[in-house]
Amino acid sequence: MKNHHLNDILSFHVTSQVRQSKCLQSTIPNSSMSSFSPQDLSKLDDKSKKEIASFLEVENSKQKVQMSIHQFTNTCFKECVPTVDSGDLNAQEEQCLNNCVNRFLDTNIRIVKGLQSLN
Amino acid sequence: MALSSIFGGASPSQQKTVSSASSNGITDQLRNQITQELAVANATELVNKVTENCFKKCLNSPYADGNENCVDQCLAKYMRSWNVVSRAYIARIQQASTSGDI
Repeated sequence: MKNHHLNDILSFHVTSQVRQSKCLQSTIPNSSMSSFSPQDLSKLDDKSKKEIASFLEVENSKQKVQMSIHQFTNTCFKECVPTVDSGDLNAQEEQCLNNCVNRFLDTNIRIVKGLQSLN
Repeated sequence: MALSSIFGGASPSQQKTVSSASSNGITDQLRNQITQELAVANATELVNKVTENCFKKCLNSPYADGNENCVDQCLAKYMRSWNVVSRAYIARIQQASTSGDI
């Protein structure tokens, strides 16, 4: 039961994952910066392939967290920062941002639990 | 052949060592490229979100004038918000992982 929470928190936003995996896919064949071909990749030895795979796994989860932060900031900024009259956040706005993130995650976890209980 | 040609080619006797060196070159290149593209993707996302939010907060229809001062302050506020949100989210992930929920 509890193990699912990790996935809830880490694999948060479906669209951000999709966007991101598209980004990773496009990295290899399409990039204009690329100076190696797909054939080069197939010639990598097993050790290098494993190395790349674990590198991708780490970058992938880092990127998921990043995209979630983008999403939360976007959502919570809209709600918590009504006016712009200085470059600083006041205490109330900061508290609101903190609450916003935590309530958003609570909601997500509750939704996932609710959906799980349907099975 | 494409692999070794990147590194200036190799005679058959050198093939083995060069191929592992080439392999390292390719993985480094791949890593760098992925890291760089992720950074670009993150920067693009940030620019888009800040523009969207600050445009909404600082400008009004019929958009006759800009409001540069507001936009500058809004950007500063957004970056501070990003940091607050990031800290709150990371704290939550760490909390979940130490309490065994993860």
